[in-house]
Amino acid sequence: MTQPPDQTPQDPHGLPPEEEAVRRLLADARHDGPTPPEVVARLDATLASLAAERETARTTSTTTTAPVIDLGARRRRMAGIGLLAASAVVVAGVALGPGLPSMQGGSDAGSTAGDAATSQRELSEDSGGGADSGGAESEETGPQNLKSAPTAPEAAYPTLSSDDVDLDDELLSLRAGSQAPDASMATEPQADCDLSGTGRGRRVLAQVDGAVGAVVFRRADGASQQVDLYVCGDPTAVRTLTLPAP
Amino acid sequence: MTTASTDERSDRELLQAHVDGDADAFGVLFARHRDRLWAVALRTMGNPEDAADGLQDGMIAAFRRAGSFRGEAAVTTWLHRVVVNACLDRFRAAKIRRFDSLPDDVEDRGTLVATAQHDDLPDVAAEDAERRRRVLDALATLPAEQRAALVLVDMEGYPVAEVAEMLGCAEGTVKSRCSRGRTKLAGLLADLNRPVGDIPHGNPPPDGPVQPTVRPRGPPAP
Repeated sequence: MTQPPDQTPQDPHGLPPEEEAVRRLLADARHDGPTPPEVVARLDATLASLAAERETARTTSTTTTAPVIDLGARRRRMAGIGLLAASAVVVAGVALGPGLPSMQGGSDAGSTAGDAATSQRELSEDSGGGADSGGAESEETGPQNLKSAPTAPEAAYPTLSSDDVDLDDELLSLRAGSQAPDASMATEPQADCDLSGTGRGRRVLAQVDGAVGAVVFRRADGASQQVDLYVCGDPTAVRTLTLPAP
Repeated sequence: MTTASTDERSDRELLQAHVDGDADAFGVLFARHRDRLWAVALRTMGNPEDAADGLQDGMIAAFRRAGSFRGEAAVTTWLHRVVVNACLDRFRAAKIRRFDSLPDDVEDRGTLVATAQHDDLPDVAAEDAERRRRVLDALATLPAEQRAALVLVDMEGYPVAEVAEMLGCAEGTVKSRCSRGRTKLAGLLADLNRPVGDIPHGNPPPDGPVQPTVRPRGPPAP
């Protein structure tokens, strides 16, 4: 901490006389008194409410974090297993196809590819994924899973705590999960959740400190990527971190 | 909650403790620097009410963003930066024009403390208070960024390099803001820039004749 000298804040010889005179007037008008008691009381009250809010969020977080994170991981694992099964079916179909000409009845490569696509689509629909994005590359990952369960969408959000010491690792996992082909992260907030002031970036909805909010992954800048955590209705980032660029 | 006198942890340790979940650490840290932050907020905003709002905004932001502190600067520099930015944000949002709405009882505690030493010389104390009022009035006419730079450099005495970190700009920008601000203040306060012992007496030049506040009473309506 730099402790400025009293009443001689700057080398007076470096300033023209007119500016030096103003500098002296300003130094004389410096406020030296303590913070007024009423302001101290107000700050203390605000601080108490912030601490209580954080404690509440911490309590909520400790009771809900693990299951929700586990659900997300399990969902991704299940989707992965599903895709693996689909791939196995396709591979089996391709392998058996040439060996069973009478059953195919003159099939060609196009129909095989069509079968594979159909198999995958059906599997996706069965698993509730509904990932019919049509191949359009979007910066925001698919909200389809949430649409299938509109009653309690926030239950599927990853839960994060802004003061978690392992938040960097959690965000790295979240980033990896949201970029995966089978990503099921929600990006579009509910109507009562205002995230309009959060700026540009890839957004993933999340429970932040016990409230519904979002994680915004900014565009990577060289070797790093800034990530901001928001809660609904507050354009001020709850926490900002810098991750290594993907 | 904000008793900072007995805690011997460093600023950095307190901030880290807050991030790690210590419920009292931030209060201790903020109380340690509160008076200087208040002085900066007061002089930047120009009046106690807006200064209290700005300081509170800054405190909330610092509380919530403590995890974003990466240790490149001193904790106090970071705190000043957060509070000054909160003040400037509030100022920009509200477009406060203190110059037009300065209350008559603008004398704050700093003024009273400064003039207390002249209790035995009421004329000198009154002149001191008047000069400070003139300076603060003139300061309030500057753009917010120039004012913040002058408050931190000339009033609070922080080095230009540290102020550049607080304001998030280059040192050259701080210097030019200070220079432009001083030049404008020199024009506004030219009559105060006299050698010591030749302080002008009396009130500043009147704006003009006092206008009646009520219309002349006419004959009663029939």
